[in-house]
Amino acid sequence: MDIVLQWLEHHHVVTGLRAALLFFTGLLVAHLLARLTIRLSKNLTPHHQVLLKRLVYWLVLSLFLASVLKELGFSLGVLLGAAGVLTVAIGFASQTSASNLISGLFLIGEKPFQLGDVIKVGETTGEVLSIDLLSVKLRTFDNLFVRIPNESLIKSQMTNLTRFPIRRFDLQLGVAYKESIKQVRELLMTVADANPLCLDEPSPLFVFNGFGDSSLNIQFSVWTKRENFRDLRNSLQEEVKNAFDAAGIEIPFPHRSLYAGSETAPFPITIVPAKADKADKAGDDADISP
Amino acid sequence: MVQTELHASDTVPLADWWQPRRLSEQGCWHLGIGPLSIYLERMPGEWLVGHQRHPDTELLHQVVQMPLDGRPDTISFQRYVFRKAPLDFRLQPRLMDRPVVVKTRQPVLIPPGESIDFYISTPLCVRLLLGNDIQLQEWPVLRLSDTWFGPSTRIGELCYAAKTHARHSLDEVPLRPHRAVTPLTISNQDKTILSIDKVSLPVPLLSLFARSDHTLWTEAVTLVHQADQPLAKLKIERKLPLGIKAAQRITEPRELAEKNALVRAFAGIFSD
Repeated sequence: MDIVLQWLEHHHVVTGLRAALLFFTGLLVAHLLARLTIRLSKNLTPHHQVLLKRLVYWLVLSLFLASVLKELGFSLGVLLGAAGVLTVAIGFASQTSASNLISGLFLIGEKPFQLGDVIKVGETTGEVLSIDLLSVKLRTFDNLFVRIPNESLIKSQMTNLTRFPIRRFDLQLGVAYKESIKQVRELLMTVADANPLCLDEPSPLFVFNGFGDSSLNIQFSVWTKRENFRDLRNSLQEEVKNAFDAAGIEIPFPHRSLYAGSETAPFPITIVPAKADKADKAGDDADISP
Repeated sequence: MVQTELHASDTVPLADWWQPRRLSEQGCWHLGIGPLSIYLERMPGEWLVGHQRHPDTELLHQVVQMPLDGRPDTISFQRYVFRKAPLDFRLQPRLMDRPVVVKTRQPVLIPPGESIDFYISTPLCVRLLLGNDIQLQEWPVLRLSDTWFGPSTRIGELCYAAKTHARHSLDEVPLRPHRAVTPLTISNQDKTILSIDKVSLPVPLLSLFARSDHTLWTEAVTLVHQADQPLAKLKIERKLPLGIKAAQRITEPRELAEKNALVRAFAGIFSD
């Protein structure tokens, strides 16, 4: 019995127990305070709430850890100095991560998009699944998971497709030179008016872009609710094609006119006699076949 | 309560098509409300529901109620399965789920301190309810075009664009089975002239009343334009339009209006 008591009274065991108690209390307090933070920050966005919660949790826990280390007899000054040296070493080694981390903080502050928005970065378009300190996770429309480092988001151009409630669809089309622009304009306006997805206001825009190589180039821009953008693109183009077909308006293919110039002689034209009919050809084939 | 049995009736311009009915007979029924045709068939364990929307022509502005020889082939039916299919059904008229933008026939200029009365008829949605108000489907009678109502492409709200015009006199308003009429007063309390070429009517905030002449009405609405205010003050009048009693309310509003609500009612104010 005495041996056990002696062992218990031994300095290291008691200190260890105290340190462990301090550590577990720290865990509990950090957890409770983090939950309290969530409850108190109801007017923040969910994403900011989660960040604040994590910040509070780690801050409280690190304070307790420092106390635990002190309790165990470590000198905090020496430890912090060592940590400083270590931080420089780690900073050099993890330059990319640090850069992503800083970029992430800027992204969170700037708020160019939120969870659920559809964004386009480079060639990738997708819905934002999460905005983390190191990267942003997207789900593309063909259901792929894409991780984009925050650094590249800060550096490159990013387009948020769902920031505003309405979007414009620009239809580029060409009509043959023989067509009347007035008739084309009226026809396009009628098609847009008849399509319920196309917004009445802002009214559709007709822009005559100029005289192209083979066609009169026209831009017809219509507005739609952003959720209907794809439906409008499909339905409008189909309806324009149908209306043009019904009105006999030609959408021309690229033409090339060959002109030898006034100085040169006309192109010589040779009239080739019509080929022998198919039956003869078949007979010829039969002759040469083994 | 014993419900009126659904029976074939003559095509009439107006009728109380929102009354509860009982469908005990077998076979497919066609119920037409203006340009919307609804097809109903009840079997012991299921209801078959189909619909079709026709172009909005004058000829179709009537109420139809007739049995068909068979189910139309061109229409796809939805099948609702029950252990024992309810006998009773009800078609409930409802106002649209977004404000409706109506153009005036020509731009109207309202001098300071003046007000103007309009009558606006907006198309309805029809909701099919079975038995103890089991909601099956809701169809807009007309597919209205979307429109944006606001000073810029960033600020504003999505509305429906009505093809009809706001009218000054009640005699000019055609009474149709698939539309509800709203008496609207626009009052200008600004010091400058208010120019209006279109008005956004916040129909989701209004209730529907059935008048004894089989027409549908909403409460009278007053929109007040105040100085330096991009939004108009909305007043839903307690006093109901002529010939309507509070007991004739058949549909509650989709959204409850706050007291002294402000709505985006006039375009062109502070537009950029």
